[in-house]
Amino acid sequence: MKIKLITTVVALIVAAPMTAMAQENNVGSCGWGSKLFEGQQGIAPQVLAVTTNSIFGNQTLGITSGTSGCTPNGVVSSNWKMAMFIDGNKAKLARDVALGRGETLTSLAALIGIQGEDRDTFYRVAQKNFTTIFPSESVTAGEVQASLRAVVANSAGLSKYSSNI
Amino acid sequence: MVFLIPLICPALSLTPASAANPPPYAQQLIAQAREKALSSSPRWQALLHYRSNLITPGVTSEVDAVNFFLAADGKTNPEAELEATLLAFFNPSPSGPGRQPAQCRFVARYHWLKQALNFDPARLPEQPCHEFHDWITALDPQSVTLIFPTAYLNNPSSMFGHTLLRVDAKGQGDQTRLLAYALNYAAVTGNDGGVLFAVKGIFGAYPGVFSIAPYYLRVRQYNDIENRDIWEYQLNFSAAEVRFMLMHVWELRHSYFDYFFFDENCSYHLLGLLDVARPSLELTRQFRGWVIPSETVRALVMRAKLVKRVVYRPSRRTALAYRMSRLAGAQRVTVSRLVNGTMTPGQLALRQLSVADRANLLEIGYELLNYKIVTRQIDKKALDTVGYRLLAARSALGYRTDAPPVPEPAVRPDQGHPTARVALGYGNMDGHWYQAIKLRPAYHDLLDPPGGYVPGAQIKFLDFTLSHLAGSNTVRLENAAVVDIVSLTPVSALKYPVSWKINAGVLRHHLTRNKNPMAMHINGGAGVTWSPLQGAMVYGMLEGTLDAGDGLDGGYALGIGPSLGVLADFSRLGRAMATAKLVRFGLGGQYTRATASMEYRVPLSGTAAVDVHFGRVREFGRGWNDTGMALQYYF
Repeated sequence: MKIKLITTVVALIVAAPMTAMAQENNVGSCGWGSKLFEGQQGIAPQVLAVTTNSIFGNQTLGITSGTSGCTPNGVVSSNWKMAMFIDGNKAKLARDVALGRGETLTSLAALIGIQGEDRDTFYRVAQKNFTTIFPSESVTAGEVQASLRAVVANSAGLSKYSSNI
Repeated sequence: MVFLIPLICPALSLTPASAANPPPYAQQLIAQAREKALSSSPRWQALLHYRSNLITPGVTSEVDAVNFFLAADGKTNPEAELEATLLAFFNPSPSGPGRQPAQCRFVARYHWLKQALNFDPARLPEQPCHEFHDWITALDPQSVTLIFPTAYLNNPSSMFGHTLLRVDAKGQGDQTRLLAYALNYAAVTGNDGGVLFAVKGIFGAYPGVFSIAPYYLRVRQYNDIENRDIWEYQLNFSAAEVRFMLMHVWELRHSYFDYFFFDENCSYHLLGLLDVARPSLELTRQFRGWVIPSETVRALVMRAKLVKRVVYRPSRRTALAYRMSRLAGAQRVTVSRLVNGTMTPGQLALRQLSVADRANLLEIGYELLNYKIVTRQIDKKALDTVGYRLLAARSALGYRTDAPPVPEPAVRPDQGHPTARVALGYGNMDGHWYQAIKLRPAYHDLLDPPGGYVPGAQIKFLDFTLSHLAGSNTVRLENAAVVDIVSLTPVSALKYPVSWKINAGVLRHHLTRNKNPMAMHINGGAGVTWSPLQGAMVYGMLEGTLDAGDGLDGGYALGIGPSLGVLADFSRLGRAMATAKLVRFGLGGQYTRATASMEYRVPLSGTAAVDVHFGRVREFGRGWNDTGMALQYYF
């Protein structure tokens, strides 16, 4: 009996790490946040307990609660692209705007369609207006998008892009 | 139950066109397909995921969704499936779970067969596939990149790393890769946990499906939250090949594979997709049985000209640790004070520092704050107060110079030692000379060359030793570790982490010199690791051990005790480890086991090493030694 029990325990210990390779996050469609570390108890559950949503407040709730902005095929419909991007990268975007550089900011510039020769102006203007675009860390993605649009519209060399935001 | 469904349902998947009398042109196409033996072509075999059966002749598809097949016996009959597919193309009415015409549902099959058989659009009208068109337009595929987030021990799901594919769109460059989409294969496990999860996983009870999501979500998850470095292997596929592969992903949209954690896992099915893109690769054929993500990466790199370029994307922790390592001691203190709020950015401004230095300290402070929040060392509310102040002060500097790039590790994951190892050993144990053969199918231990692996992480599976004692005429199992995991993470300025270990298997007790009964052995522990100098680690743990077997009172013994270890890396001259451990068994059998061991391993080449060890064990009131050496080969 004891041996049987031990065999079971051994089998499960062996199984756990292997099995888990599969359960690598069911980030299927756009309802990602809540699913990142869904359900499973690992060897170090306290590490697993860190979820995306807990990091930056409830910023992702609008999207995680449904698949708004995403087609059923996992592809973001074009008019949601920017909102999704800002929402999914808000903290890193705030950082990049404050630094006036970075991959997230460059990707946003590409999404807006800012031409090569205007990129540098855009980065500089964004950095200068950090506190306008991000009046606080808990600002919503929609608010960021709106104030970014206003900042770009009010900037001489960039105003032509404001309708893209 | 799962296995019953195919027996019941195939009739439902027959399309009306195939049931009634087929049009003459369909007959003609079928005859052509037979003549060209299309159903045995590598392309068709790849599209349907057929694999030759292990024992019986013939093939079976790895796809387990019934709706993926149009012929009743399509799972095992490539020719019938191809003919049923041709027939279905004549039926324009929507069918299947996505309510699309067969030409759109199986858009890759259609695309290929149309070319192979030169479909006459007058006799086989082409259906418009709006949904597919919108989807592929949004993806705008140009090339494909294999993404390898490195192993992550603290999440068992990620111990061997993971692989996914990134679909790079036209016009995307190095700085805008975040905008690409990532294609992932994973099991849909629902809310199952623990035991149920493990059991169902091994026996393939979970459906595995492909999913697609923006790449930035993946980067955030792996790089920023789990703090795993990511390696991006840009592959040399043409836009047409990538497009065809995605057509096939579309076909699989409502289908699934039974997910088997050992072989049919994430990495395996990604190779299957690459085989669809270019059937001549036959990548899946290389893997039968045991698929480790880093081995699939290696398999790709080994193919001539398949990998175009490799890009290293360091995790938040890696980048932060690098930037902190470049700070002077006083600056590090300043950063900590900025993060814990005892110094405000305004106070920093009063210091006699250059703008570049101030910018640097504010940036590092913000990164450290985020890292501490993600690892739950401080409350996330600090982001709104401290974090925001740091960024506002940083933006006010108006300084815009790139941070120094994080140096790439000297050894990439695909360049690390192969994961399986065999060894021949010779030595003396408890007074007996012996020869031994050791096999470890996977994956890495603390003395193996560390390049390409996560430092301080050991994962061994099914590691066992067979020995032959001089003078005896039998070979016996000396010990076996079904699983043996050690995670040593040194305490640093960034974190105060727990180091831990767990292992289970069998070993021999030495009751007397000649009485060595086999016993079950389960052991686990937790403690702390320090790194007093570069390349050295010292750990202390408290361990619990369960032994079960003959010779123990009541057949088992449960004990606890301390352990100490020192690990030293001499770079090209190898690695050495010394351990000491004491276990006092109090429940069940009552005895004490004390072990001390030293082991040194020096690599001879990328795939060979020499290992010497000395160990002393004291148990049941008697001590015995084990001294020996081994020649190891990685493969």
